[in-house]
Amino acid sequence: MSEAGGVGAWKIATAVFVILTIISLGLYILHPRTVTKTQVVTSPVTTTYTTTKTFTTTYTTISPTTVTKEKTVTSVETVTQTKTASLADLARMIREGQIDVGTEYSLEFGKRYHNIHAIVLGLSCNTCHQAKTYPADYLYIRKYVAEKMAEEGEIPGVVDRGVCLGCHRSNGVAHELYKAYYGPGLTSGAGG
Amino acid sequence: MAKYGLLIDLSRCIGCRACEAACKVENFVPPGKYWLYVLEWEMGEYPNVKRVFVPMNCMHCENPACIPACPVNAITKNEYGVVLVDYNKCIGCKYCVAACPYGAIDIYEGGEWFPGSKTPYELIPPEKRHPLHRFQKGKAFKCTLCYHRWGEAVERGEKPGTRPETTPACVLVCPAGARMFGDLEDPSDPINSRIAEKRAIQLKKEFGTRPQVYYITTG
Ligand code: HEC
Ligand code: HEC
Repeated sequence: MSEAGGVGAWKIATAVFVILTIISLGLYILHPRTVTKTQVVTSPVTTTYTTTKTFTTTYTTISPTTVTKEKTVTSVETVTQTKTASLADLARMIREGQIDVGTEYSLEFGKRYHNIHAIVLGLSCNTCHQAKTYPADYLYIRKYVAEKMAEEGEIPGVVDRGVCLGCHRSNGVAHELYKAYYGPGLTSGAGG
Repeated sequence: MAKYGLLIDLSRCIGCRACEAACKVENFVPPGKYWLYVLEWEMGEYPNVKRVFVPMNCMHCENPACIPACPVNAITKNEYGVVLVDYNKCIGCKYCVAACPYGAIDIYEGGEWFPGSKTPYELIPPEKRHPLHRFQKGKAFKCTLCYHRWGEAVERGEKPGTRPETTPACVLVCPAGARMFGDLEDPSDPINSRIAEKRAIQLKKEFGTRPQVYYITTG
């Protein structure tokens, strides 16, 4: 008798266990949850921004009783994404001091000017330093010393100041050096 | 208000470089540096050849690129339209040198003009020179439109450029009369009618700097 009673208790215990498992599994499946996903795009410099996105996920569950259930769960998630910063983002971040470009104002390589242009903006040297000499009709007074510097290897090459115009004109991405205006174009504040 | 500037007639320029030399002597510009430089090149193929001379100095722009480039506000444009560097404020970062599309600014490097001995010229102590000629080593310097020659006169109400003493040195010495100095804002100044008549141009207009130095390119 006592043995039969023990078997009955076991059966009840097993049944309770199975029922509890099914209930908790169900609760677990049906429960809307918040997931934080971090998607990292590798790039030399990136910006981080937070958005709220709605994800719709369909779960197919095969329960222990072989009943196939389909349930659509909608969850609202806060996603922190990292994206490649645009030129305008970088320009703004440099101006706001968010990117460390050094404190010493100097044209010397390794100081602010080249840290900004050659390292943070990633412009290759020959974007600006294009040749050892200027064309004969290039109207530039300092030709006499710039060409000598380029020949002696003090600088990788002479720089045609036309290169600067695109970014440093009015409404360009960088601060205005040249009051040259060619229509709306990019504005310094434009993100994306 | 006035706005002084130059008109350079390229059809008259003979490339003698008297302006270049006069500028150096007038302004204590050391060897190897120029405030005014005559660019020169050849065009065409024999027998159809031509030599071109383009004397250039600071354009004293209405919208100078050097001013916004300077992180310490050492460059200013005065009420007569002259762009000047304050040697006491300048930190020698060379940003103005980088920004100027005309290459008008250079760095004073000090040192002896000729190794071994000092020229009598160098022996003139800084305090005996005009403040615009008290250069500092490692700092920017450039053409002042000979403001030291006419600044006082204009303050007194005299019109500069009407006497040799108040005329920029480069204009005075030009043997071909290719250079003219005047007030671009005074309609009665002959410089303006000549600019209009000869359709004089400004260099590198695409930069939006609006130079106060005009060039006559046709005869
Ligand atoms: C945004 C344009 C730009 C880029 C990109 C750039 N430079 Fe420069 N660099 C300049 C300018 C303008 C000067 C001044 C040239 C002159 O004297 O006319 C300069 C000057 C220099 C000098 C001399 C500095 C001094 O003390 O006067 C060195 C050395 C130099 N660059 C190296 C480099 C190297 C190496 C790279 C590539 C990693 C590079 N630069 C990329 C614009 C640039
Ligand atoms: C690809 C675009 C780009 C080009 C080309 C470019 N710059 Fe810049 N520059 C920037 C940005 C961005 C900054 C930093 C943000 C700002 O000042 O707006 C900057 C900053 C500067 C600064 C200030 C540096 C500091 O220490 O804060 C100077 C001066 C400058 N540039 C001059 C030049 C000159 C001269 C050239 C041409 C030889 C040039 N730039 C070419 C984008 C550019």
